[in-house]
Amino acid sequence: MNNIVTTRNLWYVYTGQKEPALKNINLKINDGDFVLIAGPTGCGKSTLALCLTGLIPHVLGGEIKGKVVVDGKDTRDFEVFQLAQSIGLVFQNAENQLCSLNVEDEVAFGPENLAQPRKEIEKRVNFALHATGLHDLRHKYTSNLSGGQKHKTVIASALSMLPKILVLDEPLAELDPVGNRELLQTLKRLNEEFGITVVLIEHKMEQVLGYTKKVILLKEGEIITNGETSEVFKDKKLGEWLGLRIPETLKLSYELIERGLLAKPAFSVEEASTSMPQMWKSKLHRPPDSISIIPREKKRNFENELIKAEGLCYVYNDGTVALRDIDLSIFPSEFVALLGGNGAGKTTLALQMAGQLKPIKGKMYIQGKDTAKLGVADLAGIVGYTFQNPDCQLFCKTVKDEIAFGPRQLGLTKEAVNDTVKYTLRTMNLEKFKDRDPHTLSRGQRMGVAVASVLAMKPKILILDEPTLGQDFNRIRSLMMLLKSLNREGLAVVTITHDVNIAAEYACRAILMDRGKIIADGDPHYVLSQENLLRSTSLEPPTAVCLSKLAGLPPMLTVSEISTAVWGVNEIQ
Amino acid sequence: MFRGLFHYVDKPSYIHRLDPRVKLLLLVPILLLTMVSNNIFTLALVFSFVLLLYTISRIPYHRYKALMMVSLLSSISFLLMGTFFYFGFYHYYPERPLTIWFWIFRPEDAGSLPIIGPIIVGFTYGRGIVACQEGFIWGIITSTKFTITFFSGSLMIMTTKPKEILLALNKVGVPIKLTFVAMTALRFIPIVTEEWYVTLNAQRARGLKFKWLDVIGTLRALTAILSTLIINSIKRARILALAMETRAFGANEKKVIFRELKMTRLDIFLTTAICVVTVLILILIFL
Repeated sequence: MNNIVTTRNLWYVYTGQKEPALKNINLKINDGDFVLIAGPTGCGKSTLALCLTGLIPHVLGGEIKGKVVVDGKDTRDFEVFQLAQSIGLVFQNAENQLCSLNVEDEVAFGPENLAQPRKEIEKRVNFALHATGLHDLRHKYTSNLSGGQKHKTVIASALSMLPKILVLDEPLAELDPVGNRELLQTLKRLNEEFGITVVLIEHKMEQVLGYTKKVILLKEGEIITNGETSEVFKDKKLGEWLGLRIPETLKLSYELIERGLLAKPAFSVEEASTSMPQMWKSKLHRPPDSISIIPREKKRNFENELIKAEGLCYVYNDGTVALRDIDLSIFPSEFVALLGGNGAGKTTLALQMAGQLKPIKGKMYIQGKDTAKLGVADLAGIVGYTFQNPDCQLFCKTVKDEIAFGPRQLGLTKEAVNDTVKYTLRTMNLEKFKDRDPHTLSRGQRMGVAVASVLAMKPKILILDEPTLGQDFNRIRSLMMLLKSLNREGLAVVTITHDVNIAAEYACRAILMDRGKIIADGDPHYVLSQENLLRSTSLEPPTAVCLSKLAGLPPMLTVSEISTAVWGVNEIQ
Repeated sequence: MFRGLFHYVDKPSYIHRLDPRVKLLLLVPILLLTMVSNNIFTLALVFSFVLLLYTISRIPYHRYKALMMVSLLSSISFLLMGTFFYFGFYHYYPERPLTIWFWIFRPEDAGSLPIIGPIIVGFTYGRGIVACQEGFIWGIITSTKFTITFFSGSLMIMTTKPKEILLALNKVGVPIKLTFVAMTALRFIPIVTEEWYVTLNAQRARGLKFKWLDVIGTLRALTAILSTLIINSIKRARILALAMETRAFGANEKKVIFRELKMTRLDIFLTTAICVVTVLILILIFL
């Protein structure tokens, strides 16, 4: 096999910075590979993608040393549009890369710019739409597509340049599970049927590792390892050291390998189902039926419910029925995960809980007060709400002002505001950024500021819409740990999430929604093991639940829960 | 209700299928007749023709309810203005007598109303306020003209995809770069609108109350929203620019446009018909 991408001694420094973003990168990618590039935020993965496509140095400037050869072209000797016919690039947010009104125009955009004859454009558009499975959507408006479809449109418009390599920079970050699956399957097809080399930059290891053949791990601008997926992840410490989110299947594999029960790590549940069960079923310390689950649900005080919905219905102006007959109570110091597929009504329900939307039928009470009679601002000290996109909720000049905004509106004295700001900065670990403009921070930090600005009003309940979206594992973990500790102090937390594994790890109550109704509500051990219900809402059960089922155990939510139950080690905090 | 105003309405109809250039051309005789004619009968005829086009276009009533409201409101104001102020504002031929219905404010009475009286007299060129038949007719004609213009323009927008309008403009000679900017703007309007609402709600969720008559507070809140929107748009534009760079934008002087506008036989027939009618109208006007 020949190398389609080669870099030799590649160094790169961004304009105005001293530290190189890439240090001595030597890389070879074979024709037809499916490669994953992973590493913590700021390790240079995106910079590497920009170097491969020639956007560095042609558009973004900076100082580059060494050589990058893509499909036989040295990136310095060819223009970006010439390289684009060898290597296509897809960025994280699909929405921002679409410049046309409908799918077909978007896909035709590249060949149009290359001034190809109309027949050729037609041929390329048909090919790209066929390869991505978008044929039926060709005349649809791009703004009406789902997240996964938008991403496929961007991929199709890169494909119409007829590249041999496709580089995707965190395409899964903002997608729901359906979008994830759709996209990965499309990539797999492009790779296997059309022979396109796929380079995937991603930190959602859980979903990706079942697809990729090779892995390149980066840290601080350097390549740490580069090799076959199964070889790279033989080393248990490596992933942890890099701060990667080790897939649950892999965690269990490590446990089994340590005990000499398994030879080779498994990367997906399917793989585990063939290689794992027989080997360790017989070697459990305790028989499976003697193992019981420790429920997480908290005792409730039925007198002081924080939020209470009675027969709640909501219909949007365009006629979409978002909520049907919801009855729900949320109590102090609960940690609730609100789950469901796209359009299940999660966000609508959350907005109702925050009083931002008013019920059309039925009642919503917050601390016993009917929301229909209250303004949003009246609830500000009771309910804290963070929106999905941190960028839209940051509107002050410095982080300090951002946090002070809420308390000021509540009419606190200057000293009290200052105290609150100081306290919040400390708990959220944002002290060093207090004078920075929030928009200059990284996405994870911006989310942190958004949460801090809401917490500063000392709400009784905190509602978060997809707080983990588009963030790396370290950020997700520190945010969830923080929420957990605030929860222990009595704050009720409701978090909307697509990530069932996060819900499985942290929630003490799970609510599953489908088409505007609550279809399951209770202890996560119960809700998250309802495979059929979960699948009907296009979610997958948590990996640990599948694994414990394979082992004939009652449903366990995390691998550490499994190992505690089976081997009696690994204390959970 | 007003959010759907001036939006494309996707329906299978003859009007939708027409070439956008034909639709633009169709506006010429309609607007020409509307401008030059001062005859209620002719105007009513033109208006019923426009309404007929709406029926053919199958646009559901609720989509142009807002149009109706706007033109009804403006018609009422034209009528009131015409009836009461025609004598004061528009009566340029004093030798022609008016059919006066009743007086509201005679210039002689200016002294009886302190301050306001002289102001009214001043504004009406010393003629005062009087309800007259000529003014009423002027009101009807003007509001019909306004309504026809408004409705026929909206028909064009509601039955033609934005992309087709831009292509038609390209054909008429507007440069591609300009129409491309317009298209990208159209593409991002819904996203920015959405962000506007989210930011507004985020402010309210953090306790901001918009108080009645608190101009400075409201202005400050709006500036904060605007600056957030601008920062986000700049970030978005950067990514879009990189993405377009990899799709060879500007690589070739002669950009090809994949989907071309094609005239069907009906289009060509209509074009000829419209041209003939327009010439006839012109002959009638100048004879």
